Formats: sequence, structure tokens, C-alpha cells
Amino acid sequence: MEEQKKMGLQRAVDIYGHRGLRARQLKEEGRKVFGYFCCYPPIELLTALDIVPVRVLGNMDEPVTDADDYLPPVMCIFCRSAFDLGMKAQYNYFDGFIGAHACDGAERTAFIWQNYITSPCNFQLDVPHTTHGPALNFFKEQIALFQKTLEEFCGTQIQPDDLKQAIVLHNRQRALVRELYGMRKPDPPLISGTEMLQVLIAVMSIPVSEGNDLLQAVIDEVTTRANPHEAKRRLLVWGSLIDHTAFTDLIESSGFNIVVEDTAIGTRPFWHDIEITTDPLDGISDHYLNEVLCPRTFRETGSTYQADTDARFYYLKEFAKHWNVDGVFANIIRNCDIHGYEVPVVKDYFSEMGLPVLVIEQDYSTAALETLRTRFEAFAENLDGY
Amino acid sequence: MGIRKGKTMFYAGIDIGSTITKIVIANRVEILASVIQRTGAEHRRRAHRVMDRALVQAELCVDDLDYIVATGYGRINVPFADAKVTEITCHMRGVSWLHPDVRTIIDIGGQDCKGIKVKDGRLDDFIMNDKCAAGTGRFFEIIAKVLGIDLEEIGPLSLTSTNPAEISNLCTVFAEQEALSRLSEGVPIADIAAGIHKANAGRIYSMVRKIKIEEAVAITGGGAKNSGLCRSLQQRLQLPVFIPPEPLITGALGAALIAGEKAARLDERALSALKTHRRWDAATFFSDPGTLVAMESKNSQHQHVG
Amino acid sequence: MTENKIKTKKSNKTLQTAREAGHFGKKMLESAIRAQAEGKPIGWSMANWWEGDIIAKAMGMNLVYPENWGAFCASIRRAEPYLEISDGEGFPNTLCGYARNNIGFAKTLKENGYIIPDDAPGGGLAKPIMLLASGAACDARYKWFQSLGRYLGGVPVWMLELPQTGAREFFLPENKANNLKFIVSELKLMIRFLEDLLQCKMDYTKLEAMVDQAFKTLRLAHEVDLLRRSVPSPMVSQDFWSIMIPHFYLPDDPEAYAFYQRVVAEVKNKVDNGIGAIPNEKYRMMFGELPPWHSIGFFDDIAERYGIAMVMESWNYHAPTPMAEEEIDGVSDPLELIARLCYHKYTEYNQAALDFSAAPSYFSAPFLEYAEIYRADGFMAHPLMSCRPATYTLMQTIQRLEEKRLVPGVVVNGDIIDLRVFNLEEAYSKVEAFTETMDHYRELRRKAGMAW
Repeated sequence: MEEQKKMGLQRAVDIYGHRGLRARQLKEEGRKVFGYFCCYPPIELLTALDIVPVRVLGNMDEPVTDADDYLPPVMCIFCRSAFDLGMKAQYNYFDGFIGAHACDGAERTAFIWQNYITSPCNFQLDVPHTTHGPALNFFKEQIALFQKTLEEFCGTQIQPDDLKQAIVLHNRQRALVRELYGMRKPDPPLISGTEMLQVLIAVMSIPVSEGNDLLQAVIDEVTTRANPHEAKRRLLVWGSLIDHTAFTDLIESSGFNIVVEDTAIGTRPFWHDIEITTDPLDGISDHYLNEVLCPRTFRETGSTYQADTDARFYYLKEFAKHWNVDGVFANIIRNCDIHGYEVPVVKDYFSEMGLPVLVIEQDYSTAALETLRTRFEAFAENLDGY
Repeated sequence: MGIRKGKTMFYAGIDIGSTITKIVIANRVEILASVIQRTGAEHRRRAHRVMDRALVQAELCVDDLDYIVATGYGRINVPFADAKVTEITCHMRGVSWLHPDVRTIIDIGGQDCKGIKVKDGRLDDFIMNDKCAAGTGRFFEIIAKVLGIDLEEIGPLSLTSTNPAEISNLCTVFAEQEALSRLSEGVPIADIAAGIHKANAGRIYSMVRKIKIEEAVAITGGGAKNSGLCRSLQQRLQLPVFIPPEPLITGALGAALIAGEKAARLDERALSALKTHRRWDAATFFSDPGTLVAMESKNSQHQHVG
Repeated sequence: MTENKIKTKKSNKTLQTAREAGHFGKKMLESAIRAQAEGKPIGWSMANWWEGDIIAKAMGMNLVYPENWGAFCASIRRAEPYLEISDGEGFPNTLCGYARNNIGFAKTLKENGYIIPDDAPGGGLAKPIMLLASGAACDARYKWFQSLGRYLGGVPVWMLELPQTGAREFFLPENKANNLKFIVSELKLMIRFLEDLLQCKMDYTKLEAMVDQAFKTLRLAHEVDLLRRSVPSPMVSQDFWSIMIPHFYLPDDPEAYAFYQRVVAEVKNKVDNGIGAIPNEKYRMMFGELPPWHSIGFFDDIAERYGIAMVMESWNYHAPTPMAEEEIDGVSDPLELIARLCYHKYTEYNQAALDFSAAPSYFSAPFLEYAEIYRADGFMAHPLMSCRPATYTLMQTIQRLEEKRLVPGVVVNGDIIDLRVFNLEEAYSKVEAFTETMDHYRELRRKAGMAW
């Protein structure tokens, strides 16, 4: 049990607390490590070449300083923070950097990153905004170019079987993450929002197979330990990502258990498996364009507003129902346009389900977190019927 | 203090603001005492003394209080509170009790400013500005000093103006400078004061409109005692505003109401246990559990070694 | 007391044709109002660099541009009520000012039963039958239109995509062909969509003629850009920002072409006679990106006070350099031509992007080229509070210009909708101090043996 503990939540805490450590170790052992920005780069290709994919994140503890000379102040602070860390050499172990045209902020930041922080291998992945047939085709071709770039860098071709195997491993990770999400359905959930965040960030910092082992160990641990968590109001987090446990701690000590996240460090990268197609790039492109449900992708307007919102947000009903959600926190990192434009429609959508929504535009800084406590407490009081 | 069955219950709400402590003692039907006292930064240590005053006013003693709810900025520093509830909820409940038609509450405090939406007597939405002095009591304090007048004068003085100065800056630093410039240009103090009120009302309005302003509107907090600000807000809102007779106590009143509800959900034994375990000593900086929590370092676990 | 009030500061402009260019803005507005009055199909459109406009117009769609209408509302100080409404709806106030203005108006329109209120600024905007969103340059330009579904429920949004490939990736074989194929396919889908909506078929002959005319107009617009390389500068930004309307929005209009012929003639005349746009050209400056529309007169002032000629500006409004012969020789399909034109517009500076590490090829790298071509002494960066796409790369552009071209930059803040952010007095004093910086860097360039 002790050994298992070291493999499970504690291991996640350790990795989360020292994000680059494992990657640096592996690099010393001769592995290549690539950083990627956002959920869109198909990291299965990296795994197929035995490259360790590390998700580029920011740090809410670190005041943004170096980035000020290169990025304007009025923009997504998460992107600024990530770039700031890059300029402070905190990602200097990357052998490669993959940027993506996810949202404007991520796209421009990725360009500027590649201008000022040079890794041996770089790729900017254009991601179409639409999901029409030609767009899917185009995206597949982009990924093929990405593949070629990787192959040239590594001096080897990706064999279809290796790629399929990589997809299988990443799908396994997705399945394990979904299984862990399942453990947040009970009341109280078997794993807290803070613990989940540590686990997800941990798996985004290590090779996929190590991540799968970690996930399995965590699942075993949380299903056997005495549940340390109390029943509280159950919260769904929607919107911009949260990548620091100080934030989840604050929320979960203000009357809530976070039970599900519709964010980029949440269900979005993990909810659907990649279909294994004859040409693996078909399944890959389809997954990343159609199944990663970030609002940066424009999905067709229906013939009515209702049809449109249902098509875009029906899955939120599923989450709310199955995770027995009491309320929603709409997290908007200040200046996030992708989620900003959706605030009224999402609020309406949740209201129709009878779920109140707390909307907060925040400044992505642990120094500014405590002032949010009253808002969460008031929201919890509201749900308790005060 | 009376027989068990049908015994009158007493509840207290204590609202600890950044500089002023407010207490309301009530039974289920009426307010028995209300006290407003400046405590400054010492509120932590003085809360129980303010409570003593309130008890005297209500002709009760400490053991008569069946349930105490603390609210406000300093609510974590009240060792004798049985529960803590946010000021958002408490203001909302207090105002609703006084005026059930109110749908929008604008609370203008010393350090922050809030908009609260009410629906069927419950919290519907809210918005807070606790980052910037514009729209708060602090702003008026600073400007009053610059203009060389007392804080209490600034509102009534602004009402005498027929030609408000145009103040474009709401950052306190720049607004101060602007006020000084206007003074040196010979602009009458009343006009400057009026301009300041107008600008602040605009800022408050911008914030509150985000939660959709609906009638009836109420103004609470210290800002409600500023007649100039109330008029500017009314002009901006183009709606009548309800100002409670004592706008400072709405939070404590709401807290007392909630105390009553919470007590009603407990049985005799639980209520009695509360009284037994209540701590009446003054909170010291290091012994207060709330302070201890606040002092815990939250960030020690996270390192970006890279 | 009025110093911080919004004042429209009009420019006198230096070219006669620039003074006449207002005609085209009026023409656009009037045709929209007429179409609305006649119950003709109206589409709300984003600027889309000729990718969708010409096609839509060829099919009889009358386009109005809420982005422009937003600038107009801001300049006559009528935006505020709409911003309030948008805020009240729960949209963050950090969103694009034009979007917030349009959202507020859309709600008003809905509440008025889709009848334009009598007092709507500039005649307002009629309820459209479609919204032509754009995926180029900026997320707001499709998220905003999508969010209008709350008020214009059932009005379809067509998301016109323009891919944005990476700088390095642009040069990968097949990438260009993939991009062009994608754009053309999307255009075909858009035509099908419009045919269904308007219940009529695309007249390809008409479209060909319009595209042909557009190419001709854009070529003339480019000729003007070439003429502006002269020293002294024959035409400044104050002129450009008026003159650009016809080529940016109406290049398919023969009247626009005729107008440009006169522009070319006027500018050529100046060049041939060595006449500068401003009498005392001492400094040549570039401007990025979106101008303070309400205060173009500011540039007249700095011309007069300090001899600053704004020689090049706003990458996004310019016609692209003409494509190489082999690119379009033999290409007759108008959709192919449009695809190539737009793709070229967004990628033509990728070599500079790589050479100067100043990617992307839009908004950023072009200025590294312009610095040399237009012999720039300085760059004025104009960050906008509520327009991030026009602001994201300004800092990088300043850095790279200074580092790679020994051309310094000055920052003058503003906003597209809150015009108070642009502080005139502060801007003057910054620019005045900046002239010394430009002197200094001129000296540095001389020492480095640079051509200008």
C-alpha cells in the first residue's frame, strides 16, 4: 500500500510540484522532449517517435516581467505567463516546440515564442476554425506536414504501426482519465478538484505510458482509501483553464467540491478517443478538430438559436446530470475572447437547466486569488438557500 | 431567562467592515438593538466590546444570545460567532427584509463596492469591485482631504453646485491631481466635489449595470449616507432609489436574520452546546483560528523548477 | 475643462483625391440604406480582404460593415448606450469595442421588433439575412457574429475561413497548394450557401468581371504604394486612411478603379516634381496598426510641428504586391484568383518573417521590410485597449525594428471605442521627445553604413 501510494496521488503531487523534473531526467537519459501549447497539437505523433510531450503552462505565482518587452499587457495573462516562463529559461530543456493556431492569443504567443526562444525543432500548426469537409482535409494535411517535420528532425520515419500504437496508448490515457472522472460522481467525490488537477498536470508532464501507470495507481488508491473529502455543493468549472491548485484549493475551501471541468486541463483533451483508421491521420485530424470541444472552433449555426446552442452545448447537460452538479463557475481569464463571447449564452443554457452560474474574470495570479473567496462563499450560500 | 417551551430566542448579527463594526440584536420579529462603532484595524480585538454595548442596549446578557452570525471583511476574526456568512448574502437579506420590492442593491463601502441582484428574497447575481478605490468611501476620503474639507461635508457641498467640474480620471492618484489642478484654476470646491461625485457615480453605475439594473434599487453602506453620491447615482440610474434609514446596518441585520433561520434548524441540545462552547475572549493576533488560517502559506508546494 | 473630452480632430489631408475619397464611404452607407429601404437582402460582414465580399456582391447581397459602423458610432459619441447594453447582457467589457457596440444595437433592434429605431446612429443597420464572419486575423470576428444569435436567432452565420499558416511552414512544399485548395473549396461551399439563401445562381461571368476589375484596382493601389517610396514622401497616412476605402471595400467597382487612376496621377505628379506631401519633411515615420480614426488631424499637427511625414502605415489595409506572373498566368477561375490573392496578402512577408525572426507575416514582419523600402526613421505603435489582434505583435515589431533595422519606436495608446484613452497632449509630448530618439538612431544607422 505504501509503495502504491508513492505511485499514486503522492507521485502526482511530486510531479506537479516539480514539473520539468521528470522530463529533464529523461532528457539526460537520451530522450527528446518537446513542449506543446494548448490541446491541439497531436501529441500521438510525438509519442510515436518516442518523444516526451510536455504541455506548456504558466505559473500563477510568478509575476510576469520578462514578457513585458514582447507582449502587450492587455491580453490573455495565461499566454503572457507561459511566454514569461519561456523567456526565463524554465523550458530551456525543450528539443522542440509545437505551437498551434488555437486562439489568437495562443497563436501570436506561439509565433513570438518561436522568434525569441529557439528550440532545435519548431512547428506552427494551423488549425481551421470550421469543421467543414475541406477544413478537415486541410487539417489532416497540416498534421502530415507536422509529421514530416518531426521525421526530418529525428532522421526517421514514423511507421504506421508505431503511430497506431501511440494512438492506443493515448486513448488508454483518455479512458483512464474518464474513469477517474467517474470517481467524482459519488457524493462526496472520491477525488477532489485539487487532486485531479495535480494528476492531469502530472500526466501532461511525463511520457504517456508513465502517465497511464500513474492514472491507474491513482484510481486504485482513491477507490480503496477512506474518502477524506466531505460532501459539499458540487461545482462544474467551465471556460478558461486553471493550472494552479491554489485556485482549486480556494474554491474547495469555500463550500464546494469541483466535480467536473469543461476546460483545457479538464475533460476537453480526454473525453473522446481517437478512432483508429487505416490512415491514422484521418482519425487524428477528426478527433482534434471535431472532438476537442473548445469554443475556438466554430460549429455551424442551427436554423434557430435554440438548435444552435443545443448543438454546441448539449454535452454540458450530460455533465451536469451525471455529475449531479449544483452550480457552475464560469472561469474567464481576463481578456479571453473565446470564452468571453460565450458567457451570456452559456449562462442562459445552464439557467435553463436550473443551474446558477458564477462568472468571474480573473487575473491569473495567486496574489489576486484571496479576494475571490467571498464570491465563491456567497455563491455557495446562495446554493444553500440563504 | 424564561421557561424552555415558547422561550423567546435572541439572535445577533455582527458585520465587521474594514473600519466600522456594526451589530444588530433581534428576536424573530423586531430589532432590539443596533450599534455602529468605528473599530479601525483593531476590530479583531474590539468586536466583543462592541457586542457588550449592543447587549446593554438590548437589555440582554451574553448567554441570552442563541445564535450569532458574523459577516463582513473581518468575519473570520470573530471567535464568538457560530457561523460566518458573506456580506453579499447578508446585505441582500437585510435590505430585502426592510424593502421586499428591492431587486438591485448597490453597496458602497469604505474599501469596496458591490452590486447585488435579488430575486424572491434570494441572491440572484452579484458583482464586486474590491481592487480599485474608485466608487468606494476611500476615494471620497482622499478627495475630501485634497479639498480641505471634512468627509461628512463633501456630499452636501456637492449638492450646492450648479456646474459640476468635468473629472475624467478615476484612478485616485490621477483624480487627486486633477482636483488639485481644478483648485488652482479657481474652480469652486463645490463644483469639484460635484464632479467627483458624478464621476464616481458613473463608475459605480458601469459596474452594476453588468448584472442588469432592475427596480427597485437600494443603496446601502457608508456611501448611502453621502447625499451627493446618492443624488448622482439616482441621476445616472434614472430610477428612484430606496435608502434604508440606517444604511450601515443592513449587513448586520441580514446576519441576524440568518442567525434566526440557522437557530430554528437546531434542537435544544445543539443550541445549548453552542452557548457552552462560545469563546468570549478577545481575539489576539496569534490565537485566533481565523488568523491562523489566513497566515498559512498557500504557495509553498508549487515550484516551477522547469 | 474640455481638454479630455472626445474631440474629433479631422485631417486636412494633403491630396485632393484624399479629400474626395469620402465619397466612397458615403456611397457604401447610402447604398446600404437604400437597399434596406427597398427590402433588399442585407448581409452584415466583417472586412475580409476581398475573400468573400466580391462573391457576396456578385450574388446581389448588399453588405454593411458593423466594424465601420462601430468606428462611426465612437466618433460621434453614440457608442456608449450600446456598450452599456452589452455589459448588461453579461458580455465582458474587455471584448472588441465594435462587437460590444454592435451587440448592444442588435439587442435594441430585437426589442424594437427588428425595426431600426429612428434615432439610430447613421441610419443604423437593418436586420440581416446572413452574417459573413471571417476567420482571418481575429477571433472576435467570428465569435462576435456567433454571439448575435441571441438577438438575431435563426440568421445564419457563414464562417469564411482564411488559413494562417506558420512562417517556416509556408515554405514547405505542398503547403501552399493545400492552403489554396482549402480556400477554394470553402469558397465553393459559401457560394452554395448563398445560392440557397438568395434563391439564385452565381453568375460566374459577372464574378469573373468583378474579380478582374478588383485585381486591376488593387494593382493601381499598389502602384501608389510604390510611388510613396520617394523622398520626400508624396502622400502620407492621413491621405491613405481616406483613400484606402475604395480599394479595401470596393475594388470591383469601376468607379473605384477610375478614382485610383486619378490618385496615381496626382501622386505621380508630386513624385515627378519632387513635391512632398508636407512642406518640411524632416522625419519619416511608419504607423501600426489601426489609426485613431477620430483624430487623424493629430498627424497634421505633428507634421507641422516636427516635420514628421507618415510614410507608411497599417499593413492590413494595403493591397498586396502583385503576384508573380506564373502565379496567375492561365488561371481564369475567379475563385482560384481570389484564393491566391488573399493567401498572398497574408503570406507575402514570410521571407522577412524568417530573416528578421519577426513572424507572423501579418501585422509584424511587413514593417521590417517597410523600414528599408520607405526609409523610415521611426515607428509609432498604437496599442488599442479593446483590439488585441492589432496590438499583440506591436511590442515585438518595436523590438525587431530597433534591433535589426536600427529604427526606434514610440508607443501612443488608444482604443477603437473608448476614445478618451487616446490622450492628445500626452501624444504630442511623446512624439516631441521621440524626435530626438530618431535623430540618434539616424546617426547609428549612418555609422552602421545603412542605406538610409
